[in-house]
Amino acid sequence: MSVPGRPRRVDPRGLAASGLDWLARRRHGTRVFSLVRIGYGLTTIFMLLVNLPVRQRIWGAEAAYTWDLFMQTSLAGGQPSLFVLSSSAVYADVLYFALILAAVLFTLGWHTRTVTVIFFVLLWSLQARNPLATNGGDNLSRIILVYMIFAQVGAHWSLDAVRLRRRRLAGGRRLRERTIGTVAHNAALLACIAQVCVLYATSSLFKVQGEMWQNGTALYYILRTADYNSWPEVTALIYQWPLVVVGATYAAVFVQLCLPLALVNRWAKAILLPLVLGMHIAIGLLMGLPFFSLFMVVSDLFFLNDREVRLAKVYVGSALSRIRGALPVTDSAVHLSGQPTSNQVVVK
Amino acid sequence: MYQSRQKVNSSKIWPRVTASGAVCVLALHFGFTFLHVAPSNPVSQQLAPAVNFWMTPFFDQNWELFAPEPVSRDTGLLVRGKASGEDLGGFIDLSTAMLERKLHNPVPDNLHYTVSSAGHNLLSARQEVVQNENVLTKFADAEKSGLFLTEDILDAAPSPLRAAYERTVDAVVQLAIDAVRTDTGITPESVQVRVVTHEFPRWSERADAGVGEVVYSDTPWLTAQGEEARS
Repeated sequence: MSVPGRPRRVDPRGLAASGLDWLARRRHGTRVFSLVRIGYGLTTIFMLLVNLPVRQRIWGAEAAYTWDLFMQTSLAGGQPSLFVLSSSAVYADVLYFALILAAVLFTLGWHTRTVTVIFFVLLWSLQARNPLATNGGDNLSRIILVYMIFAQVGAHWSLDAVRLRRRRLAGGRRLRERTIGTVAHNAALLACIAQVCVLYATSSLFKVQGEMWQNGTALYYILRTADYNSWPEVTALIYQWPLVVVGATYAAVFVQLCLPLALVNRWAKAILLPLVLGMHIAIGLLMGLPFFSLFMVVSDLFFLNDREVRLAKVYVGSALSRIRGALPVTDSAVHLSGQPTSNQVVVK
Repeated sequence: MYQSRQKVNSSKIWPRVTASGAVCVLALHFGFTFLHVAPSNPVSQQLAPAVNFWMTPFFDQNWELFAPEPVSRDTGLLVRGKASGEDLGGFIDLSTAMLERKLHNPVPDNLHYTVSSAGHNLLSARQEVVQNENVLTKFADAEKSGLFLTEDILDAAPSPLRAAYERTVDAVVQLAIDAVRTDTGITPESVQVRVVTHEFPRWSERADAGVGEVVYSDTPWLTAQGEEARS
């Protein structure tokens, strides 16, 4: 930024201008957005498939949270939902399977902008139908989805990207990126990052006020709660160790409190991001909250930038090809298919 | 930078104007978000109608996950029903069935939330009412009342708190009706809800395998409308 030979000085107007240009010139974080799209899509599909056998008991005609109750409360509370149109089991199924389809198309990135809106409307409708059956992961992902409507989330690893590439190869015109779209996209990215930071800041600041978080025993009480205890044998082992309980209790608060620092410092990111991922995976496994955990892990991707995603891709790619190269030529695929698989080693 | 300050042409101005607009929208939105999630303060109290209008329903959020204190007790929900003046069997344990669905299951479905949330919501909505200042000035010992609050106490509570409490009662009553119907095949005319609270051992007594303190509290018999049944 500064002219060579001159001392650096703070230039507020230049800073403001470069900030505005950051918003208006180029679309940032398209890879991160694409990863989050795939992550949210897959998690939703997974959640809907696991709930398939009990869908009518949660969101349908057999729900203990009856349709009348939903009409009196959710709707009166200002929460619109497509479920208001009919109380029938068939209609509930139509919406459920439409949501599965929308989640699949969202994951694949097919006409992404339109599908994002449809996916959000259907997901919102389902969550509003039975507010008892939602958790913090649902809450965060549905807010992020609102911001994602304004972003280009299908730029990579999507059917839209494949179609654009084909058109370009066939000599078709490249689509011009409009400035208003670029500004909306970048603002949406900032909104997603800010929303995730709001979550961690609030969650940690409320925790530091609590006595059990202060005296380092909070984890013990969480691990003993029957509602969130899928493996009592394992959790009982864990809370026998004061060092583990106190360490993990304080670590949970510190990591959440400091996580926003990952945005401004590479070292902070290298330390905090693996810790928060580990925390969410542990929550998912030990507390029996797999979908909450997955939504959180995916949302944590907003702490990465496109350069890091590209680096990770190169690293994973080379690691994979090293593994393939190290495998003996007669791997299991040969026995299974009878065909040599040496062509698979070629890495483009 | 130094040059661009002297000759800024119009092709550069409009993107910056658009970007400034986006910055304003973001500032406004996250200003409201901050006021929505922060503890109640003079500014958020003053702007409450605007904040609520902006944040609900689509940006509504609550991140007090296990905070300020984690849950330190288990709550179980049991229900029983009555039809034509006859008891339809004993209490049905709703919570244990849900815990069994989750035990040793890496990917449990969302059904367990419908029972645990119904119980938790009832307890916390009741807590909000009996700890409200308006209620406490009129009924100093409101906190001693049972699960089901009397009409007098609810009259003293601010209407959003009262509405929230009545909603949770309705949800629990419907849960009870559904459970009794599934269990006996008969739709009950009235139901009774029992909440079992198990305060598990404090940290210093964690090695003690003893049960800890268990408290039962029952609602009176309630109609499908969530009102006390006249028997």
